[in-house]
Amino acid sequence: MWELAGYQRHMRSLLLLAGLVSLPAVAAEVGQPAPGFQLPDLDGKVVKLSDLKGQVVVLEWFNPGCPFVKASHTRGTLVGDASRHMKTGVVWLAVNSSAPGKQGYGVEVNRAATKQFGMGYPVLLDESGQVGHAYGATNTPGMMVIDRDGRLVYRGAIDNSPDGEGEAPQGGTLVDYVSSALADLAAGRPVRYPETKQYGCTVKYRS
Amino acid sequence: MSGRGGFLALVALLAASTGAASDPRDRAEAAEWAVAMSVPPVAPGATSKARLEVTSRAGYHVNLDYPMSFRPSAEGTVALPQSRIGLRPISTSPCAAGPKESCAVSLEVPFTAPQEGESRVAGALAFSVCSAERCLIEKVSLLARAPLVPPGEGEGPAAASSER
Repeated sequence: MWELAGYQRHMRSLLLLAGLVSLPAVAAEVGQPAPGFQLPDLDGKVVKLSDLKGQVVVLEWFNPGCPFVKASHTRGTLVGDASRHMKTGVVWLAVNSSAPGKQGYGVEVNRAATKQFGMGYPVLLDESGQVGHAYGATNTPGMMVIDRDGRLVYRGAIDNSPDGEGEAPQGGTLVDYVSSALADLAAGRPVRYPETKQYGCTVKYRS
Repeated sequence: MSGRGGFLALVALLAASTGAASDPRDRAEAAEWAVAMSVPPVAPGATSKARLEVTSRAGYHVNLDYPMSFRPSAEGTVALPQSRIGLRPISTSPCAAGPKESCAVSLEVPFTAPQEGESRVAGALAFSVCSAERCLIEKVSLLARAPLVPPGEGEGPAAASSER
């Protein structure tokens, strides 16, 4: 067990160094190529964006201690959203950019949350925050959609109800922005809402 | 004056200025926030507004991006316009430590008093406060009683009809 934990720490350190040299300092623009990354999941397995080329990818910025994340996963739009889209071939990945010592950091707390929320997809650990900054992730839950050509085609909130529960949609009608973007991609249409204001907790970056 | 002392003084001042009957359920507090509701005197059948104050504490600020709301409960006797009332701040006060954030907000809930009997405004206030480290979403049950005044002395339909 200790050896596995040590291996995971070593692997994360290597990935952190890799991130330092490969990721841009400014956030990617919507419509431009999505920043590449390789991040470990909760079991230490490395996930590389480049390995997912040709697939539609959703990135969900995640923090298990954030009440907006909890609300969305237990009562709001994120209930069943990922599993529904993964059945159509979409790759859905959670990314946690909480720094050590900050809210939401740690393998076990994330593992417990994936069980509580019934998340059938990996949580990738971005403790350096390099990937979060590269994508312009400011809040949890914050969402990104990458098309089959590797372009970032959506960045923003999961929906237009900033209570996380879907009970206060702006304009009166709840819009699931991620589902909308995925539907547009499936239909070959331009994404109707390419960028929206992220809501929820701030991402707990190192700085 | 401490933040808590200032808040309690504000609540007392509000109660005195409105003549609202005090009820222990017209306020609530935690380490990170305090809320209070007050209701001015109202005539039977008149329209009025309950006033809500949300104050953050201990390095927290009121999260203005959160859609604050008031959801009426069965204990109330007044008529409220919806089953969930979205609230926008009518005034905000900046935090001393960081003036870009608000540490106190005032909100209003419109209602119509019953034709007879006590006017009680009751429901759950939903709001959020955040610090640099974490956010909280709170849903707090509140109840405030409005002193009844003779028709013609309150706002709304009862007052208007008395002038004709």
